[in-house]
Formats: sequence, structure tokens, C-alpha cells
Amino acid sequence: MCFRKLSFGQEKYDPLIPDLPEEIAKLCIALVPRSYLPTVGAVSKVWRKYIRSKEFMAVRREVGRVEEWIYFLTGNPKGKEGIHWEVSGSGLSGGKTKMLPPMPGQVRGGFGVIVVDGKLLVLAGYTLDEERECFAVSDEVYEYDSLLNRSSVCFCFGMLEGKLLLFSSEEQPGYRTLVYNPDAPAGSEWMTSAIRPPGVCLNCITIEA
Amino acid sequence: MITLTSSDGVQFDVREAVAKESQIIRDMIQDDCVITNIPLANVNHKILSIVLEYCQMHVDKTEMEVNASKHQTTTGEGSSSVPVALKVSSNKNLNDWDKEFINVDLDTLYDLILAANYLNISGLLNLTTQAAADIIKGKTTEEIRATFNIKNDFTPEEEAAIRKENPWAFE
Repeated sequence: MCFRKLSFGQEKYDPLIPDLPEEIAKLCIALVPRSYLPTVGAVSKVWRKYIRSKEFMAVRREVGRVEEWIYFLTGNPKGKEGIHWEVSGSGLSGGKTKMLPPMPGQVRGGFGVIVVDGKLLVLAGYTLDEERECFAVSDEVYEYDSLLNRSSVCFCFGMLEGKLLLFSSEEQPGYRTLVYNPDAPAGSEWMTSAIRPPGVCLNCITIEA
Repeated sequence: MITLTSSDGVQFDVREAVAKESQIIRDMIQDDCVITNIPLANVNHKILSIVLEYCQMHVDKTEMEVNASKHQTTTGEGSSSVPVALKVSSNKNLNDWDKEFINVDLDTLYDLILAANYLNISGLLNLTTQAAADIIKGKTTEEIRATFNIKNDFTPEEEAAIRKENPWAFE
């Protein structure tokens, strides 16, 4: 297999486990219990990429190793820990719930949640601006990767000339900004746009002048 | 009997039932019922003998259980008529034997995984890949890298960021 290393970028073709065929290495990693995955995901870039991939979940499903955990949004808003998520499930320390890392940004309310491929997406909502005593609407989507126990801003929305833009918050090669144009003919509302942030999009705002 | 020849030319005479634990050999026998000698280009004699030990044990165990249940049904309900030795060995968990069997060094484990994959012996493939997963589990990232000879390609900054975002991943 050495021709691969000669002709292509090394990073892309580093094996998961040297001396084992990729599909076997993928199987071995997919058999590791869920509570160990945050550690396993820090071994190397290829391991991390694999655990974050759709394929990883597919392999776990195929070999019957999907573990269900339950997540609570909990806490006293005035308490020390504030509103936060906790998780409970088999394989986690003694049946006790564990606290998740805080979601990035300010505490929000009124958001929507959805799970896609082992990742919890927290969409939009509002934050309370205590100084001004008003609510601020959030345009961000947070992603909590339940396999790696990692929280990040996933993408954020922007508005430009009556169109909704979706910017990725992580630099991903090949990612293109999605545009939703409510005035476009039916079926062609979604398009891509060449507009994109120069790096990671942490937030964006449109100003008229 | 069937003769299996390892990649380094060593011949093993085994019962057909034992050889047929391998899906590819099962297919070969099905396609050509007079076949008696099968060369295995990807498995050396050291690994093949271990693989055959596994197949032999699993075939024996299955046959023993079938016989024991036959014996039980022909002699009525009294299970006391089953010979004690047979009953004891039949009750002894095959999982315990598997656990002992798979307690090998990492190079041998790799070879067994590759052989189980090549010969398509699903039980052995499950056992060996799970053994690899068990080696991964419970180790720190550094220990996993050292054990499997994996290069750490994170920058120190990236690694620090990962540690920071997983407060309970490194216990």
C-alpha cells in the first residue's frame, strides 16, 4: 500500500491502526463502549475524524453496539451551576448523572433541539440581556457531539437582501454557504452562495446604511 | 478428512466439520464436493494451528451439546443419566475458554484478526476484534498510541483544546 503515501497527502491516508486493514480497524474502534469514546477520539486526527463520521454510527448500528443515554436539561437558573445539561446511562459512573460541558455563548431559552447522527443540535432561541432587561434573539446553532463529549458552535444564520444565509462555524474544506431565498420559485429556494466568512464564523450581523 | 496447507507449506488434516467453520472453505466444499486439499495462501502454520484449535473447540462444543440434548430426550426427563463429565464440560462456559484462548500478544492478535477475516470465521472475527477493542478501552490516549504505534498528529495547542473541552474524558 506504499504507493498511497507517495502519491497523496500523508494526512489523508494515515491508517487508523498501522498493519490492520481500514475496515477491520474501523470495526475494532466501533466496538469500544461509548463512555471511552472521548478519550479514543483524541488519539489522532484520523481517529477523531472517523468517530465524528456518519460511517462510525452506521458500523456501531450494524454490530449492535449503539448505546442509549438520556440527557436532561436541568438546574436552578439562580443556582451556582445555572441551567445545564446532564447525562445518565449505562457505562457511566455508577448510574449517577454527569454534567456536560456548558454550551458556548450565553444561557438561552426557547431553543429547539434535534439529534442527528449522535449529535445534539441546539437551534436558535433567545438570551436574556439583564442590563437592558430585554430578550435578544439568537441566530446560532450549537452542536454537542455526544460521542466526543464536545460542544461547539455549529453554524450561524445571517440575513442579506431578503435571503437567509447559513455559515459553517467550523472550517471545513468544500463547505459552501447555503442560501434560502423565500421569493424564489418553488423547488429552487435553496442554493449555495460564494459569500463565506474568511475563517470560522462566530457570529454575523447585517447593517443597513 | 480435509487437508489444509498453510502459506509456508505445512499440512493440517482436519475433520470437514472443523474446516467448515470457515465460510470460504464451506463455499469451496459446496462448489466442489470432492475437494480434499485446500491451500491457504494468507495464513502461516503458526496462526493456522491456533485458528484450527479455535474451530475444533467450537465444533466439539456444539456437537457435545447436541449429543447431550439427544441423550436427554431419549432417556426421558432424568438429566442424571447424562454422564457427569460430559455434563460438567458442557456446562463450562465456552466464553471462559474463548477468554483464555484470546489472551495472546498483540502481533498474534493481529494475525488472528487477519486470518479470521480472510477465512471468514465470524465467531473468531468477533472474538478477536472485540479483544482489540478491549485493549483500547480504559487506556489513556498516550497508551493507545504507544500500544498501536499511532502517530500523534495533533499540535500541542489542538491537544490542549481537546483536553479542555472534555472535562470527564480523561479520568
